Amino acid sequence: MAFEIILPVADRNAEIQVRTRRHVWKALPAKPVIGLIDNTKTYASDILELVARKLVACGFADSWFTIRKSSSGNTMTEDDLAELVLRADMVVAGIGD
Amino acid sequence: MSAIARPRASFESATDAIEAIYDKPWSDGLPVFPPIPEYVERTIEAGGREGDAVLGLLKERDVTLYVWQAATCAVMAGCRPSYFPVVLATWDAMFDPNFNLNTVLSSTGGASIAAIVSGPYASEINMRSGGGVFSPGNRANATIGRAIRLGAMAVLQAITGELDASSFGHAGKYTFHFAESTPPKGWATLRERLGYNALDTTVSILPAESPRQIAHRFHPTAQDMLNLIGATMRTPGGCCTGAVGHYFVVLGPEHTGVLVDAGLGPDEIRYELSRTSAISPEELRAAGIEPNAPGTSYDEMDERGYYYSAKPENILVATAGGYGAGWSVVIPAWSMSSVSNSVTRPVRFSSVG
Repeated sequence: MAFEIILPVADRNAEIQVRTRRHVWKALPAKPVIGLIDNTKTYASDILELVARKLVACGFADSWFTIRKSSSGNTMTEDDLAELVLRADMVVAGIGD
Repeated sequence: MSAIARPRASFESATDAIEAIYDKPWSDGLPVFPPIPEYVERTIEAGGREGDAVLGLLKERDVTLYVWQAATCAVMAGCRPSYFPVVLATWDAMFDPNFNLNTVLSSTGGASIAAIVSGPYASEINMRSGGGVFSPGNRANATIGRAIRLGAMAVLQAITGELDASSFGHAGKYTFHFAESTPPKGWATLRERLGYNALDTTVSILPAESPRQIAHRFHPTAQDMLNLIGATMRTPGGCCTGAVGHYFVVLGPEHTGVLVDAGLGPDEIRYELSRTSAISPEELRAAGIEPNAPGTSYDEMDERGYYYSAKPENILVATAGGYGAGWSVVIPAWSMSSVSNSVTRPVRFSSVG
């Protein structure tokens, strides 16, 4: 005799789906502008700017700017996301501690 | 008839079903009760909401939690159907944006969901509020909190080592629901102090670090108690210490008596604890913390130049626990109030109200 149960989700792997991209990919320009996402954790901005400076110094990137989150525990605001999309050709984000 | 298909699976036996759930990341490591359809439906019915109703959307993960999923996890956790309204109220609170659920479930800080249930329904379902309030042995306390954790894991993808990045976590992540005991004469209940009626039942949640037990067995004065609780709240390694976060302060009977005898009520206690839990720059430095270092959050000071650990409105005072040598417990939030806040929701018994 079969023993039937309800599953909390259909299939875990099937439930995890990549979200539809909000923006269309575009080719990187010869000298891209880098958007840095500072998550406010200790030394995050130092490390990110170090990466950006090196990318500019080696001739890969044109310049960079930084978007600073309100705190590491909060997601980015829609305004900040819009600014990134408008100004940046590529983004470097720091995660973790 | 359900509009949304509820996935089912068939096994040769209950043991096989339990083992199959172990094969998925849907268990906290302990065996789960097999969520048989009849019991899940009875649980949904007891919650008073449609099974296909949405409890919340975790937009960062693009995941929706439905009532039937919460009920399935409640059954898996071992809940009686009568516990389900409390489970639902907890989820209602968790999906409040002020709680910041995605971060609570993700952070390396390893937050649990601590919950105080205040009101007559807690007694009706035999929740424990007295002796051993955080100890094993009470089905309601144990399984309501567990239902939340299993739902977070199975549905919201808070899998340990994956999207739940806890560096340590703590035992409260298995379950951390408890009931408020009857407050002393002259004190309003927690729910009344939060603007609800005496006959309501509420669930107040906190994204919590592990609890810190406080002993004072040597005939303290009220000021001694306020100083000691404040000192416990401002332990230098705490995430909220000097950085303004939320706290549950759970007073045991002896300590409550000392405070009552001094004529203090919960509001006075909250105000005083806001002062005694503030920490000086010197105390932080003595513990090896430089308050002006980059990335720190020590910036809101009182008139003494001490950093607030909590404002009065951030401190929820409740009575619980049993008689003994003289114990109370502080439960601190795992992060500052700029990131996550305590949230309270009423227990409802229908979809309206």
